Amino acid sequence: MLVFCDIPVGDAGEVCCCRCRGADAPPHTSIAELGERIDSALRTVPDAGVLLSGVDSLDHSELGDLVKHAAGAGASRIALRTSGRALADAATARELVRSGVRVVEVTFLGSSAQAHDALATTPGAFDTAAAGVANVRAAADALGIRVAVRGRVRVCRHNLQDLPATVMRLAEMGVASISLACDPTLDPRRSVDWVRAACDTGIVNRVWVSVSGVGDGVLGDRSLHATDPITICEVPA
Amino acid sequence: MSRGPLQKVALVGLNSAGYRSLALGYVRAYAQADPRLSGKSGFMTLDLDVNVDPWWVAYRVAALEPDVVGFSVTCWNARSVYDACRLLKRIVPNAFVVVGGPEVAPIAEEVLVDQPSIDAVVRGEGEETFVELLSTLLKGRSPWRVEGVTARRDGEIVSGSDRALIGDLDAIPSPYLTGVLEPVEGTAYIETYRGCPHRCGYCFEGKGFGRLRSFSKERVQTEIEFLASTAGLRSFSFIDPVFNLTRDRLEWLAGVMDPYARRGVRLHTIEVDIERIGADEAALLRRAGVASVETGPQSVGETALALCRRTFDRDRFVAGVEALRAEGISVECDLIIGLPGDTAADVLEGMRFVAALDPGMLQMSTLHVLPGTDLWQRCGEVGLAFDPAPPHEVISTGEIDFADLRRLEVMGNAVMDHYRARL
Repeated sequence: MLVFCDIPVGDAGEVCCCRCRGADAPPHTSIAELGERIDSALRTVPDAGVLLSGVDSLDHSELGDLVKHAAGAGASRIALRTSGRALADAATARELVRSGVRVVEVTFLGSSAQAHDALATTPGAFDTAAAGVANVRAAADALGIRVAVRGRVRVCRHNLQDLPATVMRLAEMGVASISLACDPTLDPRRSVDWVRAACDTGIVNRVWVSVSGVGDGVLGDRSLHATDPITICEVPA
Repeated sequence: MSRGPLQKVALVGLNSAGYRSLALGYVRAYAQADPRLSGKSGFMTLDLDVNVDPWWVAYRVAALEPDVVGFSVTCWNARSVYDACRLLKRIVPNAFVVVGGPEVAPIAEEVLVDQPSIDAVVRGEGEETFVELLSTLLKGRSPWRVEGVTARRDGEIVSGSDRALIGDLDAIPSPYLTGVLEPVEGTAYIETYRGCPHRCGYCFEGKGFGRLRSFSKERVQTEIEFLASTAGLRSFSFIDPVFNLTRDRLEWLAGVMDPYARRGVRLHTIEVDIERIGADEAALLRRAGVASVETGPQSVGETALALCRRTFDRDRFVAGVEALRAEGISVECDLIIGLPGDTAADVLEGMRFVAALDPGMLQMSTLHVLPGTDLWQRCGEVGLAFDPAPPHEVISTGEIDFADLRRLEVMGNAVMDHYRARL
């Protein structure tokens, strides 16, 4: 519904399960190249938002300039996908909100420190991500700025059974919506009940859960959950 | 009830935060000016937050030792009102408890059956009926004889005949000019006419009355001038169902408001027929100081629109939003989830339509099947199931089941949250 052009600031490296992970992340893309991609994307899809994705965009050394560029280029909204690690610092969260980022999507792999950290292979990663969610929400409240914090869960066979609990935990954190990005290679016969249970957990807690990466018809009578308030639009580089 | 030298009347509004009941303001201003009550009745208004604990509502009301307690009831405060009435009847058993308003008027007899602590219901327009009820009580006569009142008689529930509408609205003193009501937090609520030109199936704005009646231009202008001279007044909120009722009226209101708009007084969230707004009308609204308007489309589904007796011209709607945006006026686009005839795909298409318009604000609400509305009367025919208890939220429709309606509600909230998060 709300269209965002996907601008990966690097080609890989988003938080994901260590057992599914591919090659190490290459370095970030230069701001000059990213600026051109943003301009080109907004020429193709006027009035769209910009989603800075890929490698944890908060680690990009020129993130502030990147956000400024996107705003100057006419992006209606600026979103950012992150592990949340850097946002555990309240000052960073406040600066991020001040800079113009209005949608912050924090990736989780499980419902607890034990589950998330084991798959992320980073001790303390869950707690810092949770602190990041809280800090962004607090900064938005303090500054009187509307910011939507989204939870993103990369779903694979290693965290499938923890999915309903993960949604519950994110709802408790106060996220505005949750996006379940399912590994397309997941066997629907094994995954469907867990994904549906996660969707129902969201509804009971009044948080919208959208599901991507599953085939048509897999969601059955939960097919509305294939709809995401945010439409990510891939624009060729 | 006790018949002391003075009939003490407590009027109670349980309002959304920051609001005062304009309806109670009218009722009190009318009653205070009536010679039948002069020197015999004294009035006190309690405007409280709807979230106040009913025990504290009862505490505040009981402290006034009232002979008569009147509540204004909407679908939003009905549960709280009923709780407060139940407690009050035990704390001040001699007080006569009367309710009025859109939630109770169309279902007066059911309300008295379900709520034994309520003594009477005022149906329809309240001002004259309430005065006559108070006068009747002062004389020790039976309230059920009063036109427009439903009350108890020896264990039965009896309705007096319907009362005709007040022909000349100027006969109702202004609650502002009489000092009954003051602006709240820099905002004054204004009504310039009663009734609605539309007959939308879900809405009770017209309250079943078949015609429009206006306050005179002189009265409206005097009220606006008085309020605009109030220290700290920053905005007006017109509760008229359609602000741009006619081109002539819009031009006149723009002229009246213009000097105050130049001073920075703003009009917020006025309701408009957006499909009748072009560049000229948008400029007039800007001249009137309008900062934001509220409008439909409520649905983009043809079947739902037909069942709700609404029209929707997509091109004219878009043109209206663009004209307003060109004048820097923010538009709030409203959608109702759960209208009969709408499929889930229709609701999603409505969300996509309003989001793509980028009007400034989105409002997605679940259908409430309100007493007295066309949908309330035709619920079986159009396949609506709803909660009989206020606020009468829709449970399912012929097209969307209970679970998918709850999903669409939650999704609608998420769309609003994400939409608001913008530069």
